[in-house]
Amino acid sequence: MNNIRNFSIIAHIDHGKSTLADRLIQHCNIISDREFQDQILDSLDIERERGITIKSNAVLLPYKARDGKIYNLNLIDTPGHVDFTYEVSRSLKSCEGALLLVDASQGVEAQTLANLYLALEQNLEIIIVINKIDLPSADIESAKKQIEHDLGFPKEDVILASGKEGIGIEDIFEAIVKRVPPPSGKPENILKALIFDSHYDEFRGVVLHIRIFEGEIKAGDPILLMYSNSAYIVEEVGYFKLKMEKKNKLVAGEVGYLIAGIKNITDIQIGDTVTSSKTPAPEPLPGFKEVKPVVYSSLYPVAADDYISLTDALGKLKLNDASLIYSKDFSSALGFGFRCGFLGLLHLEVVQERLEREFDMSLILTAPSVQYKIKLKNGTTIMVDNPVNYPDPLLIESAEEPYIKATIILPKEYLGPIMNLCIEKRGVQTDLKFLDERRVEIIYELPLAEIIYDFYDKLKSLSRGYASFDYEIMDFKATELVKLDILVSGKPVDALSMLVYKDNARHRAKKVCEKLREFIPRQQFQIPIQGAVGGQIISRETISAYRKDVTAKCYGGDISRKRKLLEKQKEGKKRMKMIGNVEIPQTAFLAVLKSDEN
Amino acid sequence: MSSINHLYIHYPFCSSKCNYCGFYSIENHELSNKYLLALENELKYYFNMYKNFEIETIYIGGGNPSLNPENLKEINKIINLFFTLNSIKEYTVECNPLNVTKNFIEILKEISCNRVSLGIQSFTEKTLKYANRLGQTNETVFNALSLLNKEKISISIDLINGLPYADFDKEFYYLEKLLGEFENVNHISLYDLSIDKGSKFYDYKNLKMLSESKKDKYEKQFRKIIDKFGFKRYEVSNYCKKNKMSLHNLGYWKYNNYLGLGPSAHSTIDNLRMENKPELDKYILGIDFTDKYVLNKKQQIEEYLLMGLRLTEGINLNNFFNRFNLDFFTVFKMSLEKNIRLKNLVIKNNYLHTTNRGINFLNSILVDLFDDLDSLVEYGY
Ligand SMILES: Nc1nc2c(ncn2[C@@H]2O[C@H](COP(=O)(O)OP(=O)(O)O)[C@@H](O)[C@H]2O)c(=O)[nH]1
Ligand SMILES: C[S@@+](CC[C@H](N)C(=O)[O-])C[C@H]1O[C@@H](n2cnc3c(N)ncnc32)[C@H](O)[C@@H]1O
Ligand code: SF4
Ligand SMILES: [Mg+2]
Repeated sequence: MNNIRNFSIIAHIDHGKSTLADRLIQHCNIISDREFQDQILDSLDIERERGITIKSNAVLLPYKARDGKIYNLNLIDTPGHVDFTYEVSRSLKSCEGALLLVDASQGVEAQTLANLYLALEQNLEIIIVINKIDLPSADIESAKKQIEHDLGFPKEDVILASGKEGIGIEDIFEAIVKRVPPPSGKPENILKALIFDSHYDEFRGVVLHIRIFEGEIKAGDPILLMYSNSAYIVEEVGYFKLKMEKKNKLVAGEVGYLIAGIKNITDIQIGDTVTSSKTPAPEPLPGFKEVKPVVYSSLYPVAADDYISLTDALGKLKLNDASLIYSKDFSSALGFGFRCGFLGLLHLEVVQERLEREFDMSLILTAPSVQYKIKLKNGTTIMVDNPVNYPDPLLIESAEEPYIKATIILPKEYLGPIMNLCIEKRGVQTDLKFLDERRVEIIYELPLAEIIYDFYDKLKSLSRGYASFDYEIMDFKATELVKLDILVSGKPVDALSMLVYKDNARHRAKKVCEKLREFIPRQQFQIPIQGAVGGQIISRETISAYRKDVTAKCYGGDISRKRKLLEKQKEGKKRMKMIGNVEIPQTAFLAVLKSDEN
Repeated sequence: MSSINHLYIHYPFCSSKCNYCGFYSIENHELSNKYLLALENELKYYFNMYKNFEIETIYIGGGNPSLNPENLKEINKIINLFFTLNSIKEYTVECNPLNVTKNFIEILKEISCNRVSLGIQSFTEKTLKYANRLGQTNETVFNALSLLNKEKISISIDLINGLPYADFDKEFYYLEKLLGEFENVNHISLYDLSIDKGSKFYDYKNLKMLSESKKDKYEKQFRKIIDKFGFKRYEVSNYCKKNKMSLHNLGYWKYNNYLGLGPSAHSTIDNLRMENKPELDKYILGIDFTDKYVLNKKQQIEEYLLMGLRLTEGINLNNFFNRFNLDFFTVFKMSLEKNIRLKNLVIKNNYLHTTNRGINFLNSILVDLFDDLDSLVEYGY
């Protein structure tokens, strides 16, 4: 036990967590150079493509320390984006220490602080690393100052490193060994293991990622999942060493995996405690705070008969994404689907992409919405996140929408444009302070609905990427809400409706109609596209009919080519949704979700 | 087994490649002799394989079969090695205006060709230049037409709607003039420009395009003029004077058997599809130049529909039943209802045909019909 250390790497996005993890992994020689690829822990396609970490990932590193002993270090790489804060906090529960990286050229940013607070909440030993010192623009002195001033840590303890150049790697390992306490549980105690993650393996079924806090676990052991109250027999346990590596047993303090022939996916609750079914622990481990979704959107399969596959896919994805929340939904335009709750827009995109890539689904999403609190004249209050459930305006007394407290750290030269942005987004400033001569921290209360639309993109472009942003959910405030309906060829399409702030309705309607005009192909008839509030048309676009849809020449008996062309056109049609006589492609539904004013 | 009445021969050489053209042809004629040898071999092969030839129409196309009159004679010779041409009703050769000389016409007569298809495409110099149709002027076109018109040769002309820079005043001035002067011009193919794979236009980054509304205008003006000369539309892209339909092409549209020879030519013989690759080298070597496969019933029905509905007369529903042993109304209930409601299709005297509106949306109509066919197959027919 004394040779185990469990630690996470945390940082603001892009400060070099995954790159540093690569160097730590390579130092311990658990993978050959031939098999190695950059950002090796980012194993999802979407992570590799976007160059961001979405999922936390664990790996066991046997490290030979300067004292000559071999230590088993469990490293957990974590995501940096605000949407995935929950993912970070879960990972931290399995650790006793954390490496907090600060980019030498960027200094302390919004998520540096946010992630530090998460780690402090867990009483973790924090090791601060100034990373990317190889950069010509590195300003180590100023980074140190910020660490002392903003984070309250002595600058003498800071380690200087470069993940890219492999500088400071041993210093980091030694600090982990010396400063992070070994885990405290005892193998002879009653089994208590925390399920901190899981995934679905095509061949092995459900795989649980666990941290053993007390006792030990091995194949053949009868176990109980305490929250779901379901019993299984352990089939296999082991370590994550990039691949799963089978072990005889896992003991208190260790991190690893557990396979137990679990068929019923709904038995798995991330945060649940695994104990022995013969002698169950009297109390489960504290578990995780339940996460509340921030945005909601409905998912529909493009092909109606894919509903069953979508049900299955969501179940399996949920194993690996505890924060995903969903329930059945029906749209008269799109048929059966699911109403889903997400932690943010990036999370929504990630879920969509994972469903499409990992489960081969083709999906239509509806406009993301926050959850509104609506007071009716009859005295009751209802929560509405789906425009379909928006009550008759005549019955509504008042409406409230969720607000956030946004913390933005930025170089002072961008203060003007960013404050304008916040005002445009209906924000109210509650604080402004200079962190040093150059950097300002501003705090705004902003409607969440404005953030999920295009705030983040605009913030980044207005500050050339220099503004960093973090937020926490506050409470509800009064708002004026309307339901914007979109009519295609005179028919309202429920899946395109959205709830919007009254003064934004005209602008949004215009944008949506323009997008639809751009993405719905011309058809045999002219197609009017209208935005309406309460029956009153507030924007209008028209897609003119196309002239022809017929192959002009058919020459020399080349019939097969024509047949194949039509087959293709037919496949294309399958990806369309028929709304009355109008075929709407999936891309049109997705396009209205995006605003690309920048 | 029904008889084979139609013979197509692909001549894969042109003097220079037009920028819009994606048909298989090459500018280097060095291999033309070897091509002729291979052609003879290919015809011999099919002659030995099938006994049911009753050739009624011949179409020599390309490429440009008028490029070299001696080769045209050779091709005719090869045909005569296997077939007596007494029962030939239509014998068409595709021609480029530049190649139509007195001498060439003598050769046409010698081989008893009774129809030419003359590629004009456009009457605007700038358009022809942009399209790389070298040497063609309205003078050469009118010379060619007057030479042809003196003989008892039916003339079909090809035009393209949508070529960049087309000057409509010129286009229709010359079209009208031509139709007035040359009464043997009794057939017109008017194709909308398509940007075909294999053509230069396909690779252009900044291809100039004619707007949809301009193309519309072209078509309307075109109709007005040809109406005056008694032309009627009988197929998506084809117009003719009374009884002057292309018999050869009718063979395709009615989904009859046909034999196509030469690189890139296709054949359909009793539900066997043979597709020659567009590769002269392979063709000359005589190995691995044909893909063959049997069309399944669904594919046959699809092709029958996609060809038949191109004709304004449409498809005969009795024929459909006799050929496929399926009741049209049962199989295509949904798509029929929809497209009749949209006024794309009508049924009259046991024929299903497109309306003036529907013929422009034939692809969408066919996709609807195919959808019905798919569900029929899904439900295990
Ligand atoms: N110059 C330099 N670049 C680095 C270093 N570490 C990471 N990077 C680059 O910074 C970007 C973000 O790195 P990544 O490891 O994905 O950061 P993460 O988002 O914290 O996981 C990538 O382009 C890396 O190549 C470093 O030590 N020096
Ligand atoms: C195989 S070509 C041979 C014509 C002949 N060699 C000539 O150039 O006069 C037959 C006809 O197809 C038409 N054509 C070729 N490419 C086309 C395209 N991309 N779009 C529309 N029509 C085209 C032209 O009208 C042409 O006359
Ligand atoms: S249009 Fe005629 S001449 Fe021009 S490249 Fe095509 S086949 Fe050859
Ligand atoms: Mg990362």
